[in-house]
Amino acid sequence: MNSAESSQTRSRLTRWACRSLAVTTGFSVLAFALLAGAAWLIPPEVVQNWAFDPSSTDAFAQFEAVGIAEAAQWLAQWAAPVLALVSYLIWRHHARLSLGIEGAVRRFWRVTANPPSLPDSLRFRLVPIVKRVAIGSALALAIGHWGSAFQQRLKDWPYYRFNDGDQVLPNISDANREVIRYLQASTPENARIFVVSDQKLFFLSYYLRPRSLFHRMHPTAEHLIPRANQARQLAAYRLSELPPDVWECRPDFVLEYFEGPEYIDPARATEDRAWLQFARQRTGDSTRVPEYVVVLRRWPITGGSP
Amino acid sequence: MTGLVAAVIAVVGSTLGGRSLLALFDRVCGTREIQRPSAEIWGASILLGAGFTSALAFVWSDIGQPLTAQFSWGQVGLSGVLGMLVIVNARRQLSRAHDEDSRPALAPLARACQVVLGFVIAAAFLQTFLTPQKFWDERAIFAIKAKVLYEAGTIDAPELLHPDFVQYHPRYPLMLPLLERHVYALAGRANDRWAKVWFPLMYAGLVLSYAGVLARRTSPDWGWLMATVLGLVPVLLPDEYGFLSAQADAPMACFQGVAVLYFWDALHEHRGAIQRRSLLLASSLAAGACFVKDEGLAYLLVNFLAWASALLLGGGRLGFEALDEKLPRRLGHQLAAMTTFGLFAAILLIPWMRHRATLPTTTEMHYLERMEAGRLLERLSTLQWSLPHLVRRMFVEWRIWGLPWWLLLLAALTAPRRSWAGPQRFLLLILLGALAAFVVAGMLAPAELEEHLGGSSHRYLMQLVPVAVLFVAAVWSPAVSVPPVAEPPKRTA
Repeated sequence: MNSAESSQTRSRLTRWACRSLAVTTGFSVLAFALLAGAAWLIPPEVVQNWAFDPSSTDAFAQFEAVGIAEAAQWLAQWAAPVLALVSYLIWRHHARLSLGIEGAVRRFWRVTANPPSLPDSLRFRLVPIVKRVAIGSALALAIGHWGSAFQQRLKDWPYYRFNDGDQVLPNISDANREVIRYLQASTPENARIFVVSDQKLFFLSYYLRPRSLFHRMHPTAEHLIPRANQARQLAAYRLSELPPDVWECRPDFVLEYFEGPEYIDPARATEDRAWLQFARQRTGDSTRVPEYVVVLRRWPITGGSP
Repeated sequence: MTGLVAAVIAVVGSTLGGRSLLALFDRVCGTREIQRPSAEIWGASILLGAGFTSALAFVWSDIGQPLTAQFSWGQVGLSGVLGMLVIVNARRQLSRAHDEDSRPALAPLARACQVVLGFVIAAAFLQTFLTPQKFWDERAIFAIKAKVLYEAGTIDAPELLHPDFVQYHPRYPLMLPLLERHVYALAGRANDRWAKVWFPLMYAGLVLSYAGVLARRTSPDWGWLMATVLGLVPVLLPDEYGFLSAQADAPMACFQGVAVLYFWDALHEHRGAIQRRSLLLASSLAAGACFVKDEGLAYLLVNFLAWASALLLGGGRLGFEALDEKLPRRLGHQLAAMTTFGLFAAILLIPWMRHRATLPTTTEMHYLERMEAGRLLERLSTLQWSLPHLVRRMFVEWRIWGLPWWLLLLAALTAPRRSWAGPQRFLLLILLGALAAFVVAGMLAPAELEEHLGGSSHRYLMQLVPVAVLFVAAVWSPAVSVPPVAEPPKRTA
């Protein structure tokens, strides 16, 4: 390409970039200003009502839809004015910016070109094309991922908001959540609790701090990952099977907590009256018998629940 | 809100501490007058600061002193004052050396990449704060230790030393728990959402370090472009298991990636003091990787073996410093560099390794103890599953994890000779060594193969992404990889 052609192309490219930028940002200013106005003027209840689908029976979907609507409105209230301002600034300086964009594109072309020392063969002529397509594809893929991430954050909002992990107890089973709440209600903060269980207890240990949880893991369960809905039964010690050295941790309480079918004895589901009462109160079902065994006792055994 | 303020104070203090540590490196190595891109200075400061903040707390507790809020505030105060002094001094030096207006304007491509990365880093912080910690490893391994450290105020908390205390991997390193504890101590309460501030910060450290070092070694345009390509690899961000979570894999990618970056930088350097500085930085960051996660120890070994193999395969020639030297002198030079790297990392790691030996081994995989020829031969058949699985993860699932492995393959195919030249050979061998270590881990682990490797391969490959992108940047670099003749015309901060 000679220099005259190059400068002609440059001016055409600049003019095109300049015009596109002016039109796009002009529309953006208008669109974001309208969006911001609407987000501030329309009451949140109205927006949430729009999101609410009365024909749906899925309570989770309803909860999610209303929460997403709330998050989207909140985002529009704060982000839309900023984006309108940014669009306006770009619109105002679009001529200079389009020169910058053109310069960036040209630089990209230059840094992905072959050095002059390389021979002019078909193989070497293909290399810059490969580089540009590869780098361009990587950047394009990222745009897609960022779009999905943005959607995901909106979906997350109804569940997490700005609540502490201790409040939400995220990403754990309902049973784990219930047992954590029961132990929080039934034991002092500094309690030392020895747990006999066929479950992995990491989340209980984490959310029950500053209580200390101890557990003797069965050797065959040590490197197994649990599966949802007890699809994998992990081997566990029963209380009577524990080696004597486990009591060196000097627990204040002992908890028996079994969820797997091999370890559940239906007769024991109602053994801990305090647990039964707690579980019934939590669900509002006065006849409920929990599907898993939870028995909490003071240690050494003093007879009866804490 | 207190948590957010504490998080901001913690990272500002830590970064300023890192800045003063970087100045100390320059003073010790006698490279204070060398000007470097601001991106490199701040990228390295962020990572050194995070490493130093946790290491200081570790040593403080190791000598029997309590980890209290006062200690954390003192750490922030001291780091802040020292960092500010260094910045003021650097600015004074800069204004003496340059007229403000005489600095060259940054090229438009580099500027555009800076805008993109600025937006991405800000979005990373924002997204990170939108969720509390919610994944398995981040809570079961690291956050539980952070809470115990915060509550007990010592690394020798009886719980952490007890084999039956419920935590996953009791021997995993303490950098992340100590950093999270630092935020809790400043805030006065444990809230795991704000403790995640370190992860987007490390992301910023990673991309800035890459932009700075590559800009210095090649050109600002290429450096920033490749840093943008790295920063936008989806598995690092915005995938939920990357820098948005408090898992250790992304920090591992960061420390190992920047350690290799400085290693690679040292291989291009013929000036002794500057090479030493890069090696010491690489060594500190590699030691940092060992303090993030146990894989760091494997990477340290892989780095060494890759270095030795690259040297051997190159007939005793690896870096450009060796061009005019005779073989014995060249080897001596390389040996001295290897010793500097290894010895410094070993010295930094002694306190942690000593403490690690006292920790329980419940749920640990015991890879080294299980390393027997018989077992490896017996489990050779696992390769039939693990190798195709890795290939699928790297090349077939590109829509989910990104294109770094395709870029690497294309770079190697389009420039095979350059791919095998000196420093690039070293990078390639690191990647091959790390992949080999992963499949060997699958052969040794006392866990179900498909569950163990299948559930962790995307995170492990994430740890290697920065090195893969560095390889691409080096092979496709528009500049010929020789030591720069003149100092780069960039400002220091």
